[in-house]
Amino acid sequence: MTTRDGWRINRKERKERKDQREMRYFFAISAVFEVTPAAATTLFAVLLCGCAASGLCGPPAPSGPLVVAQTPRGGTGAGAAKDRLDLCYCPGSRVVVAAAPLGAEGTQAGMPAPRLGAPKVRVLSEGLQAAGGPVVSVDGERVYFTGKAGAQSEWQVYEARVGGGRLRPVTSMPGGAAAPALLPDGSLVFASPVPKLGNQGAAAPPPQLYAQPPGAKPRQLTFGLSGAADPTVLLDGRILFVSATSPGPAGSSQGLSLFTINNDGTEVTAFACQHDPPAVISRPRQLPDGRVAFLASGLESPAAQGSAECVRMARPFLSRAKLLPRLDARVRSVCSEGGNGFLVCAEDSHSGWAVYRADGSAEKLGAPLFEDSSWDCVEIVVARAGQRPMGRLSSMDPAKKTGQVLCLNANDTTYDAGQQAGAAATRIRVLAGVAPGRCRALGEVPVQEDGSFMAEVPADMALGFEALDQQGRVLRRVEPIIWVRPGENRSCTGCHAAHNRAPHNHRPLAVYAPVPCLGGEPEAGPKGAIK
Amino acid sequence: MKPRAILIRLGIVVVATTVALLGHHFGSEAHIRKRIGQRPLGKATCFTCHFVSTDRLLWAKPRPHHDSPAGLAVSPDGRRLFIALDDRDEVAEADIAALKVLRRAKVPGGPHGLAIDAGGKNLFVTCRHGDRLAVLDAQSLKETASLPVGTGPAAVAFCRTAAGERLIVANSMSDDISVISLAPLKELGRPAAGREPFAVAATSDGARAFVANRLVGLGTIRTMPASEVTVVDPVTARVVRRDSLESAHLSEGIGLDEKRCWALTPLVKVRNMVPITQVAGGWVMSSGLAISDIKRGEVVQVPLDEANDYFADPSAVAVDSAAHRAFVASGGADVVSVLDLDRLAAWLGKANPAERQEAIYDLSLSAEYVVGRIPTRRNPRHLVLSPDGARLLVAERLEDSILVVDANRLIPLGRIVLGDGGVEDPIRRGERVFTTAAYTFQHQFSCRSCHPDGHVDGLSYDFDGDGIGDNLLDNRSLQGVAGTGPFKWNGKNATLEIQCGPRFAKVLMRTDPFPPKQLRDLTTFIRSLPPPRAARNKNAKLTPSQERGRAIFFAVKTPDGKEIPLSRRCVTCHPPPLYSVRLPFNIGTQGQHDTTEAFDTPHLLGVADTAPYLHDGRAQSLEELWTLYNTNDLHGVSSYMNKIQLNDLVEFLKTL
Repeated sequence: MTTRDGWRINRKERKERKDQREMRYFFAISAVFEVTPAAATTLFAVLLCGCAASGLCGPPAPSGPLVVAQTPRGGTGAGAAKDRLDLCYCPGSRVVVAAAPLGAEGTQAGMPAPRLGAPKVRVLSEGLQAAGGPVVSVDGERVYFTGKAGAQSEWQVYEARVGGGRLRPVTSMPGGAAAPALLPDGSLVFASPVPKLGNQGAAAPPPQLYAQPPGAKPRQLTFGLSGAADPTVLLDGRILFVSATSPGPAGSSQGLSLFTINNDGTEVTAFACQHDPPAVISRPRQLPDGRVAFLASGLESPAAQGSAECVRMARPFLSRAKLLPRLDARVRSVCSEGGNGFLVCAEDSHSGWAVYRADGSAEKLGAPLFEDSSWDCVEIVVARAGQRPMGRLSSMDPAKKTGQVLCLNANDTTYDAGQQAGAAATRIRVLAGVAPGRCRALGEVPVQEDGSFMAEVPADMALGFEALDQQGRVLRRVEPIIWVRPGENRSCTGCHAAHNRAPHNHRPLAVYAPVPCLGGEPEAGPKGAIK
Repeated sequence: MKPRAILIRLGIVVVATTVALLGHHFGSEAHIRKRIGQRPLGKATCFTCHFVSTDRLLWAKPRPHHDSPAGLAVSPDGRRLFIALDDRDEVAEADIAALKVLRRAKVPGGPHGLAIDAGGKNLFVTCRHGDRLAVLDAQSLKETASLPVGTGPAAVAFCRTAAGERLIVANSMSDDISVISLAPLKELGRPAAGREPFAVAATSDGARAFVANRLVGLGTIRTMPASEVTVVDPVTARVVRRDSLESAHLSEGIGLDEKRCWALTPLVKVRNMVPITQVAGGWVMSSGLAISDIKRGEVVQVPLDEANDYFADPSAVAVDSAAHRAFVASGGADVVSVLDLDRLAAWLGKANPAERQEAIYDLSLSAEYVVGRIPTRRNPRHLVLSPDGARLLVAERLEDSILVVDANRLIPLGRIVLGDGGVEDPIRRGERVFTTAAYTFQHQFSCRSCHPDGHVDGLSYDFDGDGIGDNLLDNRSLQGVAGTGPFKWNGKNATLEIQCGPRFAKVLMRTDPFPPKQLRDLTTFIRSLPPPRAARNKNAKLTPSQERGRAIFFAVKTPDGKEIPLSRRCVTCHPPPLYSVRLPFNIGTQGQHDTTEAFDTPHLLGVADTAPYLHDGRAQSLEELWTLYNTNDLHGVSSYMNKIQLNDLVEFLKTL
């Protein structure tokens, strides 16, 4: 798609944008000078030549209206903040839509921007006390964002139409909902509850991801003890989200990394950043050029105001890099503009937080593409039709309460903690996560001669694994960060095996042995039955 | 007539029709149960056994033909491109610079593979359906000579040896290699290849020819499958080496980088022995490239895919030794991947033996040496470089066009249009669906990845819809499958639409099902696939052995006069013309973890080409069906047969 289609998409989009731009100018000329289309064509050609000669033709307008999250300039709301979103979107924050022309458009990078005053925008979050985190539906017509009706209200996800219409809440989650994303079937994915500020102790449940089909009740997708946040839907249909790598001791610092699940919560898989230095990661977004961009900052940062980074889909564990390596500015949002360009919400000492154009070679921010002297523009997305992600038929069996795990070789590992690394495991202890830092053993299963093992385990529960040697010593440990959905058959190549590895072609001996059922009644039915 | 009378008559008609239909169904079941002794598990009617004809099947009817490009060859001066159009029985000549077809010549027999001699005088054409090699004058395109070769010749390579000029022909159906001398034009030998030899390349000194085989060799269902690159001495016409490609198959191309002593073979790395609990992470299959050392035969397999995107069905390779590049066409992904051979060599040079061994499993590795992906139109299946390496020519088979690429700058220069793409033809549209990986999660594989040419890949798989177990299911051919429903080994899918619908999406594609229109086109294409060639030679005269086998097949008594029970006669379950009664029956092959004892009765059209056999592929040959797996006489009474009788039966089955 990306590497493959990058060329094709670039050419196609360039042509479309060129056509749109030309048509816009053409109709503008027809309307302003009140001439016939033929005369307008001539006039347009003359003007185009003139512009080209004088160098006035600047960068093109964005390929659709801009949807921008704005916070009042100078407002913090930190004193009254109850949760993390209160810090990000202080009272008065809003989501607006702005269509081209945007004021400073056409100004060359590095040149001073003409101050045009407050640009014309339409507020999508009218009536809400605060709003932010907009995303646009695949058809480019609807905007979903997180909003708060009043000071005592919970954050919920709202829907508004780009073209105008009634604002409506689409979630009513206890504890609030945030970070909307959209599946190709129209289901809304979001994180809930919104994490509170202060020391809530172990009693505070971490946010989890939910999927809510149109007109239906939400269903929980993630069950890890570390919670899940900031979902986005990849073009292959998976949901990419942010979570802690493993739940450390309560109160300890732990970095965040990227994981994926399918649209039904199955196949939770590490995607990138698991082995990097601890950092706060937020707002992952797939770019059309085959990269996933995200914001990264130090653990001490109260909100995601760090640098824009990226990994390549082709090798996510080996390609982490700065998205804008030469740009020395804080960034809060990155959005693809098509091709190699981005729209970013970045901070400039003169303009404050505004929307800028940037590409990988940008050394400094140019003139803002969109700014408002009264508002900080903190998040940006272009309202245009996009590529529809792949759908997926669920492989779950909701009637079941268990799933099965199959490990092809528990001794296939990159685990490097201690001298026992690489020692052969003879048994696997399966753990159920109870709370961060606490888990209980569900039971033990034998490891076959080839290192494979299978177990039937309770569904929708955080699961961890310990590889034991003959003396019962723990050789390797996987914290309770995975789960299986009802009826899911979950497989892995090893315990802490290398990422992005395909399995060897061999029949695991574990499939020949009876499957031990841990923590519940066996429900998987006769092994090997044709159904 | 009074309304009341009309109503009464209408009621009589309705009641009579209902009774007839019920009797048709239940009567048929009772009839079958009485005659065969088993209750049919599938839906049975009178038409299950009677009034069956192949004439009305789609594959038996005329179908549209298209200008689908197959093999390519470039003239030594790099100006002219020769294109084999197997579906048209033609060879076309095109001007590469002008992007125009200059002329076409009729070459009967399905011209598929092309090669041109060093002087550019003769064009050699393998006729895949005609089992011959045609020699054409490259200037006039007139056929000057023809030579019978093995069955299904798919590819040919020209080379000069110390003993004279040679042609090496890969015979895909007879699994052998024809080594041919040019002066005089005669076949020197026909050594055995692997299974389905499909591509051939020869070294410039003619010392060795390398033949890529498309299918894995036959083995037991619990052993690691492997295909091979067969290395032939063109002078002696003997096999000098067989380089094994472990867990790899569907190699349809081969190229040589003689500077590095590499033979490059694109492959599909298959993982059929691993339960299919997922497809993510290359769990079912991935694409790769085998690098065989020309002299020593050591093989390293490296991936072509990426960690989150796959380039299915790599089917052809072209090597530019001077530019240090290789191009691999991925027919399922509509992409030509560009490999930097220097970077590949550098990685191999610093990797230790263990890392080389593991290279194919590392889905991140291709970023080390894949430097570009050139998008193409539908189904790039063959490609060739001009002699100076300046132009790359890609046959877009299902687009009826040739993409011309500037091989240095990797920029497309235009297309040589051969036909209209056939988008009005539902069969062609269905073939496009069949061959694209666009509907599969991360584009991992297409229907063709398991069914090359709609046929078998010779492997058994373990799907997880039935739990994670050791219940392998043999991959069945789609050729001649029209009219043989129900489908699936347990016979639970009544139609192809059901077979290829949501269940398939859930178990294999792991995406949304095919859209209705595409599904309709896909099943139309599958129905249009004729049985393997032997099944269509209805008028061929049987040999005495085959005649004896035929008598055994239709026998009602054993040679010593004992009557064979009706339920155990071959023809009871395998009646002509489809040679399938299309109902599931118990033939005593239930495995340890099979919950059913009855399996669908496969049709026998072209059965000789569909090994392995039985529902889990445990029988590697037709002989094994009776020598190893029919000890209870449930799969026909065979215990009375001696070796010659069994051989006769098998010989007859090969004619079906």
